[in-house]
Amino acid sequence: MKLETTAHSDALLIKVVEDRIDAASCIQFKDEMQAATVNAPARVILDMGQVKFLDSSGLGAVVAVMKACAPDTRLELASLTPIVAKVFRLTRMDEVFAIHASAALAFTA
Amino acid sequence: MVPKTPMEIPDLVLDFIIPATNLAVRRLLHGLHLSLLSNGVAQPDVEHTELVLAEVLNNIVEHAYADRQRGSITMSAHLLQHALAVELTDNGAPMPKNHLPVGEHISKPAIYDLPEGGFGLQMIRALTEKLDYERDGEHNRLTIQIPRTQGAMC
Repeated sequence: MKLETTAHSDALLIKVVEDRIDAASCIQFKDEMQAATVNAPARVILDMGQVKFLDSSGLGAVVAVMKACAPDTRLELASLTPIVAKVFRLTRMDEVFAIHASAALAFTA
Repeated sequence: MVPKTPMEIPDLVLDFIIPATNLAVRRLLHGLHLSLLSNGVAQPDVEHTELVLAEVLNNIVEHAYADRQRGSITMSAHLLQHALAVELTDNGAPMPKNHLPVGEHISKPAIYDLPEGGFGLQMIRALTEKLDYERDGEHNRLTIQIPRTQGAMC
């Protein structure tokens, strides 16, 4: 699981450099995200633009990371591909997360 | 207009037998994805199919075979004009009470109460038009129909 982190003044940008977060990789994703978000600032933007597949195990891992970050850090999402956006819509998790069209737009928000 | 016959001849039949592991599921989905795309199934329909089958296959690996070291899953997918019809069988434990669980609808809960699981069945039900489960002796048999919403040739 490859994650690229970039520190901004008031937020941490984490880009997932993987095609999929699925049952075979969700535990690794969760562990590496939790390590990457230790002492994180108030906002973490997760850029999922390269993720072309997310199943319910992957979604569960994203939710777990968000819960682990709260309340001091808010996990926000950016650049969801159409099928990944659909997973969030179908499970109504799009109502729970702040979702930005792109990482750049997340920083102007 | 061609009348619908009960035994429509599929455009494509794909059969798989895989060990019940997460990595084998991933490889099966990858192969299925490429086969459906190269047979003219529209990208969104391919993605819905991959998602539904990921959820049912993961359930078999995690629940039906939860307590066992070894197991296999057989999948037969028939590409029809308006849908993909899939039959999955395994020799794992039966569903609780021999029935498909009812998908709970998750409303917007407080952040600490958010579930980290239980999303799968919700998505399966949303993306399938037919979903039947039967316990047949030592086997589980799941039949699913995933509609083709785009580009089905008539």
